[in-house]
Order: sequence, then C-alpha cells, then structure tokens
Amino acid sequence: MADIKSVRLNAADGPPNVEITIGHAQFGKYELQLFDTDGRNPVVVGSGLSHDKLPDNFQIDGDPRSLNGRFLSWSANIIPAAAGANQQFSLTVNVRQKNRDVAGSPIAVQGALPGAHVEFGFVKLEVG
Amino acid sequence: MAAKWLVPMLAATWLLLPAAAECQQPSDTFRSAAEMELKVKNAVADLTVPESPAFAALGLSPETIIRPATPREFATALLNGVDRSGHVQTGLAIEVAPYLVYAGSRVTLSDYRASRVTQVLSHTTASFATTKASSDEDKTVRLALGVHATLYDSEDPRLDNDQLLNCYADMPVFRPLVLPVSPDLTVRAQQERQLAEDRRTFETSVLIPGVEACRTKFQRNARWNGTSWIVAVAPTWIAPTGLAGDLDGGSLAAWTSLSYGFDSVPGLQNNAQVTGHFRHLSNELVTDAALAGGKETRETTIAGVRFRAGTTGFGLSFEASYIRTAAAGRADDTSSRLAFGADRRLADNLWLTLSMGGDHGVSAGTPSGLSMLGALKFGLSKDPSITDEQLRKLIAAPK
Repeated sequence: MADIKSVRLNAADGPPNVEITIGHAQFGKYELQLFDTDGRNPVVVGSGLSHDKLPDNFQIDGDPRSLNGRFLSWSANIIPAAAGANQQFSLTVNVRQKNRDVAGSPIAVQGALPGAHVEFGFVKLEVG
Repeated sequence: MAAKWLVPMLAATWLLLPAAAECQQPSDTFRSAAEMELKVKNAVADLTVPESPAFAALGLSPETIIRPATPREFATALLNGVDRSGHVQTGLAIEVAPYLVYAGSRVTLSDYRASRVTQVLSHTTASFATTKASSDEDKTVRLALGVHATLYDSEDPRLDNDQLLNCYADMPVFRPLVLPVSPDLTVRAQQERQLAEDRRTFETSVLIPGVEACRTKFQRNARWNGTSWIVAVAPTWIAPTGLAGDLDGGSLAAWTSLSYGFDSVPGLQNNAQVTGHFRHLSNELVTDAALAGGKETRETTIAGVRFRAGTTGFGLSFEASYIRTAAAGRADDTSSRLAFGADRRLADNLWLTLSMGGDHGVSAGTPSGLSMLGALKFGLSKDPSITDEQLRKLIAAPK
C-alpha cells in the first residue's frame, strides 16, 4: 500500500497556485480536482490541454486554512504525439505559494509511453 | 549496335506488356532477374544519413543499444564505458536524445509547436560506440561519438495536426469519485485496488478505443516524399593500448541530405522527391596489403543526387553520384555512377521492373585508371524495387 504524499502550505502565504506540465512534447488533456478530507466529493479546480496556448496553472482561491486535510488530484490522458519506439512521457505538478514551490512540491512522474495512457495521482494538503 | 535497339525494345515491351502479363506468375527466371536487379540496386551509392552516426563510423550494427531516458541512466551508461583501471569497455552502444533527457519534462507540446529550435533540439540524438580489434593480441580500441540532427522535416507528426488533437481533446478524462485515503488500512487497500481497476477499465474501454477512432478519422498521412534536411557528424578516436588515457584522434565523418518534396506543387507534391547528399570522411586509416607501405590515410568525398517519383502503380528513380578519394603520395581517385530504375505494377504482387546502372572511374587493374561498367536488368518481381521498400522505410522512419 502506497504512502499518501502530502504538500505543506503556509497559512500566511496566501492562496496556492498549482501548475501541471505534461512534457516530452506529448499530447495531454488534464483535470485538477479538489476532494474533501475523506477523499470524496470532488470539485474540478482546473483543466486544460498541453498543446494550446492557455496557461496550465490555476490558483485555488480562498483561505489556505480551508484546504487543510483536503486532497488535490490530477488526472491526465497522455497520448503519444508521434509514432516510433522509445516514446517517453512526464507529468509534473508544482504547488506554489508566493511563486515558490512548497514543501513536497514538485511531484513528478516519468515513464515509457508505448500507447495512450491515463496518469492519475493525488496529494494531501497540509496547512501549517 | 545491338544495345542501340535493346533499350527502346525493352522499354516498348515494358509499356505494352501489362495486359498480357497479368496472368503470369513469378517463376525462377523472374526471381533470378529480380536478384540480378537487386545487385544493381545495391551497387547504387547509399545517399542516406545514418540514424546513429557513431555506429556507422565504426561499421557496427549493434544488437543491444542502451537508450537512457533519464539523466541518471545516461550518466550510468557513460560511467560504465570505462572500468576502474581506465580501460575503455568495448561493445558499448548508446543512443540518446540529450535535450529530451535533460529538459524533456519541461517541453510541452505547445512549446514544441511554437519553437523551431525546440523541434531541432528534440530531434537531435547522440550516439556513442566502442569496438576493439578483431584479434585477441591487439588491444586497440576504437571509439566514436556521433550527432544526428533533423534540421527541418515537413512531415513532423507533431505539427499541422489540429484536427487530430482536437479529437483527442474531446475525450473525457478519468474521474474517480473516491480516493484511497481511508484511515482503515484494510479499506484503503481495497480502495486502491478499486481505483487501479477503474483506471485500467477507463484506459482500455474509453481512452484507447477513442484514440484509435480519432487516428482513423483524422491522422494525417505522412508523405513519403517529404521535405527535410538532416545532418550528422561522427569523430572517432583510437586507443592502441585500450586505455582511455591513450585515446588519440582518428577519423571524422560528416553527412548531410537535403530532400525536397515539391511541397504545394500540384501534380508533384505527393508523387516526387529530389534528394541531394554530401558525405565526407577525413583522416581514415586504411590498411591494405596492396597499398604501398601497407596502409594510407585517406580523404573520401561522396556527393550524389537522386530523383524519385511514384504512384501506387508506377515508380521511377534516377541517381547520380560522384566519389573522390585522396591520399598522400598518389593521384586522386575519382569515379561517378549513374543508375535508373522503373517499376510498373501489372497486377497485385506482380511488378515489371527495369533498371540500368553504370560506373565511370578508376580501376586499379587498368593502367589508364579508367573503366566503364554497365548493367541493364529487366524482369518481373513480386515487389516493386523503388516504391516499396525504400518508401516504406522512409515513411516508417521515426521523426
């Protein structure tokens, strides 16, 4: 059973900003969701595409203290943008306050991408 | 005199025969003709740039190639190239895209599509190979480092494919309703299993079929005759003792190919391509008992041009190449080669093939230093000699 990863927010540093980067020039469609403290009732807080010109970062508005114990998840469809062997994918989530990564950020995954792939992960938000 | 009539006669037969030949099957005679034709094809100068210049510079076709995907894997592969006593490890073959290894996680598809420099860097690969002398007594180790870069590619599948990407974008993403975070570890383990199962089910029943449907509908078929510019270079070093500290300069090989696919030219844009190729190999040490002193250091230059045109039932190819070899203490050797080939499909799996080739240049056995070689091949084969294998390789080549 995997440990639950967490990122540590500072209550005094204002609303956190979450950026998701789907690298290796692969196609990616993603959603960021915020779950409540028992891992239910998801709410979409951001979504986007890796090939458009829109920014891939989202501010989670409100008092950071209201996020304590909640879970931030990301889900992405990652599809090879070119044919050929040895295709790789990477997904990086940066959680920042005051433009600096908070403790536990970034969260990065990388691997081979032989075909279309669903990448899903989450972290617990801890506010100190 | 006979040759004067032979070519037009065969050409006329080649044009008129299709209807009569549709019922014929390839026989041993035809197979033999195809084999002879293959020899002519093989004699034509190779005008391609090697994908892995280091392997080409050492004349290797390694069965196992290490392809590191992370900086750690890359560093490990390089460190394994030299043992603790400083000996270069032989039989090593590494191929890597350095930019993607070190910066790939920050290169989004949007960045790639917006920047020509990013495209070139992403398509630049480095290769590294070592080999040792064939005899056990000889401890000489040869080492090559190669760089291969695609400076332009009109058929880059990451570009000009908005319809396909929009189709991908219309697919839903996986949305679990519950996260595996229960404080009860037994429940949490069950939640994790359920999440993994749901993710797999979404991937196999929604995402993968959706991607296939999008590709079927919108995937842009790459032209076999795209416009591209590829360059490659590979210096080699030699260590007579096998020690990394004794590595000394060897040869330097450089290749470039520029292909033009008649982009936006009606009638030709899907059917024709002209390719110019240049290759230079400097400081190549050649050992040969027939040479004065048993060896010499050569400079070799090859230049060539090729025109290819084809449809589903017809193919045409013309190649001309020039080779110059220079070495200290003797006159330069030069030779040129012309080759022409044509295919016409008679029926499914039955192609009528015509090919001609000729050399003009130096022959060591001729005091004048000149010789003429010619060949004319005519026959039936199961596959076209021009439009099939060469073009399939071109289309299948990773961009």
